[in-house]
Amino acid sequence: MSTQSTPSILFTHTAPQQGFRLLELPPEVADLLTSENPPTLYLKSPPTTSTHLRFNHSDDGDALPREYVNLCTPTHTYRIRQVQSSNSLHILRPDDGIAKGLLRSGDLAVVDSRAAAAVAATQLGDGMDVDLNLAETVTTIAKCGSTLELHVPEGGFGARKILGSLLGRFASLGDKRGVGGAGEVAAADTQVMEKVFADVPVSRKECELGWVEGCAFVWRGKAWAPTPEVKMEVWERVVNGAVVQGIDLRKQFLVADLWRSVMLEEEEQEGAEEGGRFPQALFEAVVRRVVEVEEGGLLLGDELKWASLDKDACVRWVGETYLEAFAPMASAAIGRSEFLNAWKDHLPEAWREEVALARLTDSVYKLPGPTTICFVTEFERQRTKKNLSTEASASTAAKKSRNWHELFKNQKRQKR
Amino acid sequence: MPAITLHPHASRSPSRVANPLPQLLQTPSGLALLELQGTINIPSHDEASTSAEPADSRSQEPSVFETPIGKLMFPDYSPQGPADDTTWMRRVYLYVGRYQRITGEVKKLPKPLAIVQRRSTQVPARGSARNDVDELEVVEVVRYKIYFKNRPEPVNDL
Repeated sequence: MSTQSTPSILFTHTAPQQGFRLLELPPEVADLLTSENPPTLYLKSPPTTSTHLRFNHSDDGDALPREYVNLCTPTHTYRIRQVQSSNSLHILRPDDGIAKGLLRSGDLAVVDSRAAAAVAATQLGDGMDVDLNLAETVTTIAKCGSTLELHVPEGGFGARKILGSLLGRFASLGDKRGVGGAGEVAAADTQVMEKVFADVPVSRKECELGWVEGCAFVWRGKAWAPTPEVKMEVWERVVNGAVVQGIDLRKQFLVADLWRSVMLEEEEQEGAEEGGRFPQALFEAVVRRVVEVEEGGLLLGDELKWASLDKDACVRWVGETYLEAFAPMASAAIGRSEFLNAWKDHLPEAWREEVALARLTDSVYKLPGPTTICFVTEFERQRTKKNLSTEASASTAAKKSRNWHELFKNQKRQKR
Repeated sequence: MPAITLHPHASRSPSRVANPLPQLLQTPSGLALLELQGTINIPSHDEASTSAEPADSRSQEPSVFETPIGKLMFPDYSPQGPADDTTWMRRVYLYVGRYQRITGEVKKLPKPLAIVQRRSTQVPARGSARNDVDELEVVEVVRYKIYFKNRPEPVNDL
């Protein structure tokens, strides 16, 4: 028989078995892990206890699973899903059980005829050495009945919502909240931010993106997110301050100069008492939102020094934020021309011509009447997107696939 | 919730034992995957050992048992063969005991699998409060598996 000539490898089972999990890797994660300097990955879960319960509650039908774990690379996030298998996956390791004396040749009688013969011979008092040709061994050290798969949920990870719930709402520039907490030792600002990020179950990059997009800032040991009204107010002061001090926002400017100009203007207006000033961190958060960022550069961490505005992003942000602040829903819609004029007024003089409805992100606004315009909240956007996609995709998917689950899922939906 | 760290490398390098598997299945750590329909029933040592040994035996070196199951054979594989020759992958035998054989194959995994393990902490026991922060590590990324989807068939003793 041909198999006689090929070496056979002894296959054994080692007890106690070790604990391993198998994690299925999308190609990009596999490449990352096998690259020269693989980054450390993190498993993150949503915040537990009361905050979490509140989530599920306010979600109405959003069906966020209660418990989940996300795998985060520095830039991407994947939801982990455990998949059971009826097959068993053994993890093998090369082994030298015979050399270590864990296996005696007598034990091998069950798997090898020559070993059996040798054992029989020994029993007859006919001591002889056997060359089993089985010196090489692999042993199973673990058995896995399930694997962990990674996937990206259709509706995203809801990171912005979770981040939002972890931040205080900074609703007014005259806000005195937190002033009384003088006894508390204020933690370093970055620590406060890190603590928030630890509770947002997405990658570092996505956390930072959400933080910058929301103009979040740390002030008096707490993390805050300004309301759109506050953002507009700060922005207005920035633009006015720049005009008064002759800072050209179209060119590179020193952020510290801009802050000074904002402060000067404020003092003139309200005779500024010390506590009434709005936080510098808030000013920086708003500026950071609209400055140019180098591709691949870190958004946070280093202090803003020299900056120049990203024209497109800035024009769009001002328009969208204005809309969100002053026409947050269809019932509060404002006139289109009124909106366009206000938008122009909130930009540096030279950028007035840039204003056009086409500048806005399409899904961010709607036109409830012939002359009006209003903002579309993210919640509404998600809902309309979901309705569209489920109806369209479910029926086609069911038609195409021969998967029973797909077929029945659709039937169930129709009954309801 | 504090994030759980997943290190991309194992903290300990594995002991160097000659790897008898075909080159394609060899990994830096030596670990490989074998998929089987059904299970291998091992006469359990556990009952004997748990009843015989006192509960504090954990502090000692845990007793390791090795039970022979059978033999693994790659009948068409030759280490001298060209590296890009994959015909040998189509046939793998696993003998279970002396009289049963399962035929399988070597397959490339559709997606690579990471073998993940809890990282053993360098400073054990002392200050046990620290121990509840788990750290995981990727021991290996495996791209092939030995796959047995058939039932065992009776064979003559080798």
